[in-house]
Amino acid sequence: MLSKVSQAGKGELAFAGSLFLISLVVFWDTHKLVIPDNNVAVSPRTFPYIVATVLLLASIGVVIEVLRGRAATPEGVAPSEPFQRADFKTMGIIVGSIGLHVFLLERTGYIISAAISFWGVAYAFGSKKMLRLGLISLIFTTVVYYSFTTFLDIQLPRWIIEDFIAGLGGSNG
Amino acid sequence: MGNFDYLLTGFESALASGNLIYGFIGVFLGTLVGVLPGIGPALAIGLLLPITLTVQPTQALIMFAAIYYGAMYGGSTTSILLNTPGESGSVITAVEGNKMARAGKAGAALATAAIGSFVAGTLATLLLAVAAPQLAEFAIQVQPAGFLALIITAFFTVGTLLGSSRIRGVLALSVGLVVGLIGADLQTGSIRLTFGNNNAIDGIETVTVIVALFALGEILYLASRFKHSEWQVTPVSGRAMMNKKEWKRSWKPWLRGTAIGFPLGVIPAGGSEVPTFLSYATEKKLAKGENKEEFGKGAIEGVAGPEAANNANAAGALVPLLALGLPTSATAAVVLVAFQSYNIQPGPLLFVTNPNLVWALIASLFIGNTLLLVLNLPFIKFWIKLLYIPRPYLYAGITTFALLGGYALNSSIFDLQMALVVGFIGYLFRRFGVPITPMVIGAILGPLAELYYKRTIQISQGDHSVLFDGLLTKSLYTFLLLLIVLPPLYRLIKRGKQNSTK
Repeated sequence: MLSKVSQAGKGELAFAGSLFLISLVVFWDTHKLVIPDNNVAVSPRTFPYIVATVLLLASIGVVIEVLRGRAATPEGVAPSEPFQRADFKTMGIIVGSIGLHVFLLERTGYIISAAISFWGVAYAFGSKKMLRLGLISLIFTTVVYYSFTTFLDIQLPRWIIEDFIAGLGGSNG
Repeated sequence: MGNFDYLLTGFESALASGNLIYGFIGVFLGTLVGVLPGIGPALAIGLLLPITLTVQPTQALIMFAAIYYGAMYGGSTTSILLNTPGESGSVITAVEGNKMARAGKAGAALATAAIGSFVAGTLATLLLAVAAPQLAEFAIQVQPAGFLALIITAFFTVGTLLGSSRIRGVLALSVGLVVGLIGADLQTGSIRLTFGNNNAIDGIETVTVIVALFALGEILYLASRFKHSEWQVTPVSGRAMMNKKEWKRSWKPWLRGTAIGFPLGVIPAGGSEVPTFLSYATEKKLAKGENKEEFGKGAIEGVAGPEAANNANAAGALVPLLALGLPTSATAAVVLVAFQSYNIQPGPLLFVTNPNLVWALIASLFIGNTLLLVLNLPFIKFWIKLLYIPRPYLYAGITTFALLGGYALNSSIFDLQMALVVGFIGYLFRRFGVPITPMVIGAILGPLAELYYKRTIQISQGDHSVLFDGLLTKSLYTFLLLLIVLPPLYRLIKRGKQNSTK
């Protein structure tokens, strides 16, 4: 039966399969839920069980659709277009730079971590002039940092660079 | 005080100089963000949410009303001039609009879209001002069981009407419901699906979910198809104006679009795809002679109708949001979050407890709409420049703002980690043809559905039959049953007929 499934369909089977597994996780988590002693009319288990059942059935439904040869059409793609392999390299760079941003944000402050992710995403999308890009990244995130912190009173993590620039401007840091 | 007096007071409050400036800022930011390719109205408001954290509620909501309409205007510009439309409601506009632009009639297409949006927006806001208080008055008597029925109806209409496949809509909905489960149960405090992570006890921040799904998911999806995509901006020659003939061909589609768009926004039909498509189909059918032949090659009716429907739909979606507290589109869901961040709960009581705020909001919808017409058409050349931002910078900028929006609301690294996870889910959804909106609706309305369910059963002391009590619940569930049963039945009958004629 699997031989009928296209390359794209196999990816979708894995996708629906993992959602099927998630529904099992919800069942398991709900089953071992700690319920307080006080008498409540509706258990906090009822609703999660319903949700898990719907997810379970829907994921099985999608698996059946794919096995019948009706794999999904990706968004914005005409059904007749040939299957294109995802560009994992570009995606990887982006996921990596966002991950780095999350890791660095409260360690290096906003400007550096956001500049790194800006640089990474722009590089992944084909910006080639590294030095210019680096400069633009830093200027952009500095502007963002100061417009949000000074004009909008939104707190963002600060570190050496932020302190240094604030020092240049006198007492407004 | 009658509603009309309230509306006048609303205008007074919205036009107060301190407040009007927020309307201006909102219109400007909304258009700015809306024009940027890849950013639709839901994401635009989500990204701008942190900005309103430090502003007074009335001023923030005035700003939101302006952003809401501004993002829609901006979106239509993009879909006319770019061969890849930014958001779902503009897909149909792009069909004829981009063809018109390529035939050198970009100015007329932009004008009919902008003026049509203004006409439809004004009429629909008027309808909103009439309908919402009435609906709210009715809804005050609705029992929890009735609200539960309304939410379940919204779940299924949003889930099944969107996207190419119903089963994938239901899949998206249930993933959203799972996200909504995460954290402490409101009544018993039982901790669900946190796997021991204390950060998750309060649940996953809704804004994070929305921003990550729409921004990071889209960026990842664009990255995955990076090598295969292209985009071209069609240049605009001359001014954004229409000649007499184009006016004549536009005004009826505007009105018809409004008539189609508004009601479909009020009932939970799930976003703007359905009404814009219906409007397009209507215009194509009604067109005669040489106008009909232009369809597919750049017919102005095909821009005027769907654009009007799109805007009227957006206003219509505010009716259930304000009167019932139920968002029926992703954009309305973000507006709901904006209300909630000020501890204001939209719903039947809103018109009683916060009349000044609601009416200021409605008045600023009128004002915002007018500001947009003034701001957009004459300055169209400025907005178009935004389309020429190099793609790497554009995408990097969207990512930066999305990450900022994900973090700033709670200053939480955990929120950011969740944003990355949800963004990847958003990518997978796009890749496998699963619609996004049902997931947003599920995540927001899921906890509400559980609450109403528990209230109903608590009042009845465990008797489940009360779930179907009353005319409202009965008719809603009957409607749902028909919605689920009829299409397969219809297909079966059709197939039977085909077989018999063979």
